[in-house]
Amino acid sequence: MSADTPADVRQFGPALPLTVVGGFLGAGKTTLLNHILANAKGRRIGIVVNDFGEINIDERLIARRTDRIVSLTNGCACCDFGGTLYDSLFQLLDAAGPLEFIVIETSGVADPDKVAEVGRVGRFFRLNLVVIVADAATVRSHVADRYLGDTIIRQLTAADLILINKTDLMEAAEIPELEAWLEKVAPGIPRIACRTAAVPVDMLLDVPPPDPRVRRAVGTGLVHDPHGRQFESWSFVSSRPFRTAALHDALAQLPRTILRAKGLVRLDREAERQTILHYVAGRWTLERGEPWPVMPQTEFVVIGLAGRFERAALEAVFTSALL
Amino acid sequence: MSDTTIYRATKIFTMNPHQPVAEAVAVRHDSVVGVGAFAALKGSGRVDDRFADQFLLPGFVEGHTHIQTGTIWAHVYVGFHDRRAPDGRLWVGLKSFEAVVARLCEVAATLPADGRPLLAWGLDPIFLGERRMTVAELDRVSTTRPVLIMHQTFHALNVNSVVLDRVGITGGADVEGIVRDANGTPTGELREVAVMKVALHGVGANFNAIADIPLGIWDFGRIANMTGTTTVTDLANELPDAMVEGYRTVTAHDDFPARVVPMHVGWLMRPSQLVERLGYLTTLNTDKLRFGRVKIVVDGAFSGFTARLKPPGYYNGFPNGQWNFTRDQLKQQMELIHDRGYQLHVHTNGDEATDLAIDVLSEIIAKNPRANHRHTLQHCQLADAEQYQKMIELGLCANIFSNHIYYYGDVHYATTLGPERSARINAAATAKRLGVNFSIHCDSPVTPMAPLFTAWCAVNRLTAGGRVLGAAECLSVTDALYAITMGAAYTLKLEHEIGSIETGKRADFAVLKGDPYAVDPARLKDVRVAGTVVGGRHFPAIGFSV
Repeated sequence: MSADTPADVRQFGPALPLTVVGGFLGAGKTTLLNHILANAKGRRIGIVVNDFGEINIDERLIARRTDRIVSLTNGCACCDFGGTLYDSLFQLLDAAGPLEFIVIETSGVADPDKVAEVGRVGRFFRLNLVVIVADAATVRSHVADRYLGDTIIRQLTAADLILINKTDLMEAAEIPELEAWLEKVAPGIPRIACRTAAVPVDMLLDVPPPDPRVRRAVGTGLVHDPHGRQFESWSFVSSRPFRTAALHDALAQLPRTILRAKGLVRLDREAERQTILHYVAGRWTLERGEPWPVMPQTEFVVIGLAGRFERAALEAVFTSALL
Repeated sequence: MSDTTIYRATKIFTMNPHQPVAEAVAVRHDSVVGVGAFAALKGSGRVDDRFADQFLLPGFVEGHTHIQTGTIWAHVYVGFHDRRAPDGRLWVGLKSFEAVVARLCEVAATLPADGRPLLAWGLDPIFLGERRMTVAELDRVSTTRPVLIMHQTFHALNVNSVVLDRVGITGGADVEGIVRDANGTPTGELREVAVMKVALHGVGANFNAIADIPLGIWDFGRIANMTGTTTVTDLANELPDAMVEGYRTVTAHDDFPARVVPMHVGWLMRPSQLVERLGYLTTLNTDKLRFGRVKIVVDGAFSGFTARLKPPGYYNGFPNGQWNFTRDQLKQQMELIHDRGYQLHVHTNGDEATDLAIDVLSEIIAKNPRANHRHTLQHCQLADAEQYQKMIELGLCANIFSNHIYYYGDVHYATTLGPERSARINAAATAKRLGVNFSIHCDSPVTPMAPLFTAWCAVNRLTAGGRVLGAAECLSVTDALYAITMGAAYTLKLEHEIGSIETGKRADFAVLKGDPYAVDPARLKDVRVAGTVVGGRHFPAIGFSV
């Protein structure tokens, strides 16, 4: 009676990247999820939601609907969790067909860091990003609330990225004051201001690697800015291999304002093969890839908060890690 | 000759203040038709002396148990304390990890080589010294089959290396819920809900799955029977159709020895849907099955440090616990249930959660005052005089978790609450002094169901480590026995039917081998239960021998 399925017949695919969306009620979590679904751009995203009654799913997009799962024609799926988030998450995994990303919307009083544990343990998920949505107008009063204060602070400090939402509903002059207050409550955590939770979905899930067809000058930092004014990117290119340990050290030194890095690197240990670098908010993997097709060349893109990191310092850090 | 039976007993304790003690009780069909001196009742029916050398009390009413009391026995018991299974078998408590491994090896040897997980429950390392169980020990049970032991607290698991490997829990990642040894290697103890869920899912194990609903309900009833309990509760149940059908079928059976009060989970449906469902469910009510009560959960539990405490919080400085819902959500969940006349049972472990529950309920009640709602705060472990006073003013009842004093009192003293606050946990004497309508409970399977043991806890306040935890909060035997009968019946709004032995009420009795009022209060828990009478039908306790 111990199992519905014998353990030996269970099969698991590679770890799915998992983004946790937290924040108090009314902050804009659902708006953000709608925004993610509307900008999925072919990604098959599985979303575990607090209550899918609140998600605006276009009826024409619904492929099928079962007890707690809604599957969409674009490959995305939503699962309603009620009181049992983790059970719903695994139910979604078992029932929704192949997925590429998981997004969990936590309840308004949940500790997102505890929920993020599923992305730190075991082979099913890999924690991608913890994003906390805060309502610009109400977050301070929630922190002042006798019952809620510590819960909201725990949410804010669990964030890799805080979205200060609904700034359009606030006087422009109040924003710096709010920023200063947030810096005190959640020191050092990257923040961006937005309205209707409209942020680049790539930043929440994954950014595309540099286009291999575009050759770039070796050793030159290139700026391109596909993400508007909020984020900026910088590329590192080199044909010299990295000392592996030194690259780990360099990644460990990146400031918190760098949210993502992605691309191919050439390592001293494995100079004849590509190594795939995937960095998100202080966590990274260096994964063994294919043999280099032509000339081995490191090329990765780094993306962070606009104006909040020093390109020259980055270049120095990575260059010093080269062999 | 009428179809009345007159049972004589050594003594009958009625819980009826007009006649606290009687010699005989007359029963017709399922009801009591007379209580008093044998001479007075004689002639009204056939005399039955089967209880002549025994003592009768009203059947015990357990106001906070779970159906898992029965269903958990699908898994192997490896706890520290002796525990009797629904089939009457006594599972001797295991006093070392060695003994736990030996029992699991024994069971594993009887299983087919199908690789299915072996699930066990009841491990309580706090009783087994400083050392924790390790993966090496469970690898002696099997290196091919996942082995998982759920701790008695239900807040931690121990697993073997098959589970760690299959799930992919390795060295490296620094995760709070994965216990590691001095070298950073996972010991196989997994603590946080997220970590436990990943492990369970990874090997296809589920402690909550009820493979056989009717069997689970029958086993629930069997455990009730052997502990003198005639009414049990299930807090809480989602009550899907299959479960409702199971409850209906099983409780309708004449041989089923208990009344059941299943409480509906209050947070998975919209309130409007929930009241509609309750409206339907209450049409199915019978004398042995009562729907129409809703459970709400405000905070977590002490064992997982998720209970919400008022300042200064946890004694060991651990961060405060977790809310399950916001104030507004709680209000939304409770308001319509209150307005429609249903009863709320609200889980609050820590005192800050109790505050919030009182706060929200006072708002709801002020808006729509309603006599006799009897909403009940469940556990209420740290409620103090001020909170109890507010509860009285609002007409709230309390169901106090007295068993915690014995099982976790030492942990409260040293870690969670410290010496002063732990001396007033589960403050039943304060509740009594102020006049709160209250009951005491076990929360089985979290602690074993046995109302006499629960009464013993409330009377003696002795911890497993031998400390008397707050003598000022000890209840008298009289008050404790009242709490497990009339007290609990009142919190369920069933005191007109059960909870005392008097004319017109159901003939529900606990049959005891000894006199609980005469025994040394320190031995109250040792009074033997010989069985029960439910609705006039005698159910000798399984596994009972004279």
